Amino acid sequence: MTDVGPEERRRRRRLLLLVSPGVAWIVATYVLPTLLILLYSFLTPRLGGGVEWRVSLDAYRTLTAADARASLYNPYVTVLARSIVWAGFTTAICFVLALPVALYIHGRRTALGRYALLIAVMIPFWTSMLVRTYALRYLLANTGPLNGVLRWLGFEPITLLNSRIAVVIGLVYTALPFMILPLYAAVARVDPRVLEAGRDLGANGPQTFVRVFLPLVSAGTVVGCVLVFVLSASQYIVPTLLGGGKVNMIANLIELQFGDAFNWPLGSGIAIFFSALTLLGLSVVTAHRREAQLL
Amino acid sequence: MIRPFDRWGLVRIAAALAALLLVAVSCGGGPQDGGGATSPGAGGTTGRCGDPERLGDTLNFYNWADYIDEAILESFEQECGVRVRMDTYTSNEEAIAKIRAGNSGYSLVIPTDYAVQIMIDEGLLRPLDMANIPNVANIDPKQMGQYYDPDNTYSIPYQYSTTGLAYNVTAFDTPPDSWGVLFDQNRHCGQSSLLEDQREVIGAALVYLGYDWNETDPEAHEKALDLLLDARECVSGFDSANYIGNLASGEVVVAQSWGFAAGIARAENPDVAYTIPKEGGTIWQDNFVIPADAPDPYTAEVFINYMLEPDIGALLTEFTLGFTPNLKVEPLLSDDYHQIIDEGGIAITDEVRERLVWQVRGPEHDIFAKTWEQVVAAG
Repeated sequence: MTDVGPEERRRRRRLLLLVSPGVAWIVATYVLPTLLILLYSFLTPRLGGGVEWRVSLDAYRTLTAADARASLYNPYVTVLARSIVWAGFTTAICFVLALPVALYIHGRRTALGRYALLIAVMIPFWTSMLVRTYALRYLLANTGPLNGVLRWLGFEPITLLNSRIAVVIGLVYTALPFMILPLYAAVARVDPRVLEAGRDLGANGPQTFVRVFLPLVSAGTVVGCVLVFVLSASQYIVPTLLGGGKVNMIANLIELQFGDAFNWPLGSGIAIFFSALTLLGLSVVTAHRREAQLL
Repeated sequence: MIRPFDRWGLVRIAAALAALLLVAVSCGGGPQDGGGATSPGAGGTTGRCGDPERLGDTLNFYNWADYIDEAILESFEQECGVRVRMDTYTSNEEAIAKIRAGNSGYSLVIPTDYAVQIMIDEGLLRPLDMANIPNVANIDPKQMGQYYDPDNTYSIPYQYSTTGLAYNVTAFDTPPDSWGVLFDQNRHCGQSSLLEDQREVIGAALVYLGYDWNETDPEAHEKALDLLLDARECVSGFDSANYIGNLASGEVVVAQSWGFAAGIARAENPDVAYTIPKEGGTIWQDNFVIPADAPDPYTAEVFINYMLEPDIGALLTEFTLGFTPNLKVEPLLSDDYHQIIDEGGIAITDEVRERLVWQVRGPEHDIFAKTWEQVVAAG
């Protein structure tokens, strides 16, 4: 480009020096493993796990083609679709639940009140997710407190644990803070005078909400939705512990290939396919959006 | 196969520590000399520690999680002066992957039967020097020479157990005697579980339908799949991790279970009993093996020999609630152990033994993974 002075060149070199540890870290812990998975997906499975160094397209063939036995469905596509649909559900539920919370927090008069509520939202992060999910297990169990109350009230106990409902409850519970925080940040930046102007110009309540307020918080909405969706679609702990092995998502199927099924190439193939799908979806959502810079 | 954690392991560790304190107090000899002396306190004289000259300082041991009374490691250190550093795994696949990668640093691993076979086939194991393990003479011949290592060149049995049916006696008028109670005869929907294990679950379905446990015929698998797709609607889950606690608490009243796991549940809740269904169940065995690249095979062999001492073997089996392959251990097992194992229906009688099969794993068994995917991806 344009010629730069020695001062500017030094500045750039310093900058490069500063970013290089971070870049090296990402290359070592993310880029290389991803390439390794990509490589594995084109090799041959080995008994007991691992790969034989023989090139094979079997993983992708298994993934895309229906099984040779006509009566069987394609389990990978089924579970992939399920993961995506449920992550979508979770995102929608989280948004509906989180927006009022964000507004409520923003509405507190004192900074202390706002901080206290924000910290309350973040407190669950201080406890291991595994422990929190076990707590949910206990809560939803046949012999757990929820059914205890039902029984005490004279109702029939209901089976909640190891069901789709339990998994969706777990997904929403886990992801909710990731929606509340960016939404709050967006809500806090909304200038109330703009909303007033909307009202002055003749918009009624719902119109102001939909046509003025929502566009103003769209940046936070996109960030929150993307975070929640990606987090939920790839969840492992929640479907494992709350789905009881019956209600599985894509991470469970990947784990199976790396474990008992002795098929690392197929597991890698599923992971690559899923990542590609997620990236594609993300690029569609964030295309032409300045908010994408927030990601 | 993935194992659950022993829920009362902590209690036992606490008890073991208390016992150790007692030992430490009663031994309370003179101060240790600070130098790098290799001769360890009272060791050597008992003849249980091999040649002190050749013994290493530490032994790196790779074992199943919650599969040994840690007091044994402490007493080995006390007696023989070797510190045992133990890491744990929860599946054979994990152990194989680690050893296969090489330079694991472990001198001793405890894989299950089929995993031993895979490791032998890949040259990952080192032949055992039986001259260093004279106590191998204590082992029950019935547990030696199994399919995965016919001459026991590479492996010596550690513990073994079975897979069958655990149930709560209060939930059944007559004790269940068929896998049907988890399939098309299930009267306890939402209160029953199958293992999260492709070979065990599909195998049980296959024998229930009259096939062999290790059957690989696609038509048989099709029928087993139909049975399992219906069964999954009724069972509360496929669960290898939490069912022990669920059995003990009554959350689940009938479950496909490992024998030792049923023992742990019964120790907490005496209403839990166990049976091998009339169609058959499986037997499996974990084994001492030494990796080919083990840094200290001699110390590992001395430790194996130590583990095969009757008193140490008794500590082990009282802890795992599995079965001991060690004939000299059997008379030492406590009344508590027998109360759980014999009266709980967990013990292997001659009549039961005839119904037990080993699960073999070869490339032709990949069909189990395919059938299993259909089972777990449904719904």
